[in-house]
Amino acid sequence: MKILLVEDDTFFREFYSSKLREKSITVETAADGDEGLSKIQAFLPDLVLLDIIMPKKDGFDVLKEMAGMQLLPKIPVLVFSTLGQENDVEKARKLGARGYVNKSFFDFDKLYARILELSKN
Amino acid sequence: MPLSQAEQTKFKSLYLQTARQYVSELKENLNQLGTGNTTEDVIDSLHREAHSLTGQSAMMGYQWMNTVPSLMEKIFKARKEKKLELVDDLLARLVEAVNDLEKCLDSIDKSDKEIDLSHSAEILQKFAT
Repeated sequence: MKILLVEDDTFFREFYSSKLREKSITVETAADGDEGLSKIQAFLPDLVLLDIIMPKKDGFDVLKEMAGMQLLPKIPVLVFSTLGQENDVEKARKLGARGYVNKSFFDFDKLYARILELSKN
Repeated sequence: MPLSQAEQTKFKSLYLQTARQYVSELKENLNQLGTGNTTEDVIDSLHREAHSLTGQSAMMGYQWMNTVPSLMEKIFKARKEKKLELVDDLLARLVEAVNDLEKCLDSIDKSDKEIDLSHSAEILQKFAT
């Protein structure tokens, strides 16, 4: 399985990459929306974990461009949010995200189960 | 849920490195505001830095390093949405709060314990609501 993690925060990028690789998942990372969009097309992941608040292009811009490129039906996106971002999550859902994960409330089993569920569909 | 003790130990060094970088950027951007450079780019950066610091501190289980940046994030978001003006008094309070965050990181580094930042939190809370 291939996952692209689009996240500007080095701490979260390193932490979640490490945890996902422990499950033998191939992980590619991007540090902003621009890099994320390039890597989505080059890497063709099975799933994207997408932060919202990022420099250059934010998560909303990425979702809009993915929809424009007809990539959203094929590649599921889980929003990587934190507490207090409920409005952002709702906006992302309307733009085509399949769900969200609270990245600060670490529950890797729950995240992994969600990843498996979405990648099967 | 917070990280396990083993994971906290494993990622503490990365946390301190990235948190210190955010504190340094917060200082630099607040300094920009102090010199009258209030472009939206500077406000966006401050919002992102406070947001990132909040998230990673929550994950590491640090209470004050989560609470104070979270209040800053609310303040910068309100400014982004033109609901709040960053007047001189508030700017001075934000600078003091960032200095406190720096001291708190030093304490975490040395003793693995936070210092009490309730004073900063109480002050920022008045602006964040």
